[in-house]
Amino acid sequence: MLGSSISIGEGSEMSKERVSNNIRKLRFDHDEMTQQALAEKVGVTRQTIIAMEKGKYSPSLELAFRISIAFGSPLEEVFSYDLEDTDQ
Amino acid sequence: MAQQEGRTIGYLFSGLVSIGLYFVYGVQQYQAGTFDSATISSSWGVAVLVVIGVQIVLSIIAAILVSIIEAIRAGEEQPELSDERDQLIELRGERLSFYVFGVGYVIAMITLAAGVLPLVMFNLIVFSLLAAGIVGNVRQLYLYRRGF
Repeated sequence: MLGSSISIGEGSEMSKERVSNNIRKLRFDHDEMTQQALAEKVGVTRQTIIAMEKGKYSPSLELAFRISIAFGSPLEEVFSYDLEDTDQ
Repeated sequence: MAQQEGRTIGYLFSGLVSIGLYFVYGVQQYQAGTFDSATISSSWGVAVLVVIGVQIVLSIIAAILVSIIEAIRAGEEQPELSDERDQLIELRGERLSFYVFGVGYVIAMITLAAGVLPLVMFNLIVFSLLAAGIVGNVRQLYLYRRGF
């Protein structure tokens, strides 16, 4: 599986927010773009790209837009957001 | 290892050396029998300033060494880059440092209120300051290793 997700909203009792991304898949679709190349394009370190791909780090809105522009894809194609109800 | 991560290890090392130096000074003073004094002599202030100076110098040396090692490893000089993740990790580390120092400060004030020697209160504040830096760096290192 090439997509990854990250849980945010610590302390939330009613719901669990999940931001997932398709960065890895999109890199491969763009001539197997390296993590370093993407990092340089969007102005972050390679470690930040790795953390995002692993679903460890959720980027700021500004960085999310820069990544979507780098891939020439709409934001919702790169990132997706799910709100899971955990109050069951 | 990223440059920021290497730098954090350097800061951690300098923090440990500083607290070690201060501990050695404290033990020497204790053995000299000056620890039970009701007043705080100026030599303690000098010792704190020396330790802070040593920590600053070691941190600068560590930062230069990490840059050189990274440049050699990568084959060329890499641009200095600190992104939003680095800044968030730094903030989380600093927040924990603040909590540790805050707790140490309150404990120091409690000892003072309880009538313990002012020198104990003084040392508790200095130690909590140095320990706060170390704990903050450990937290940063943990976040770097984990990804975030």
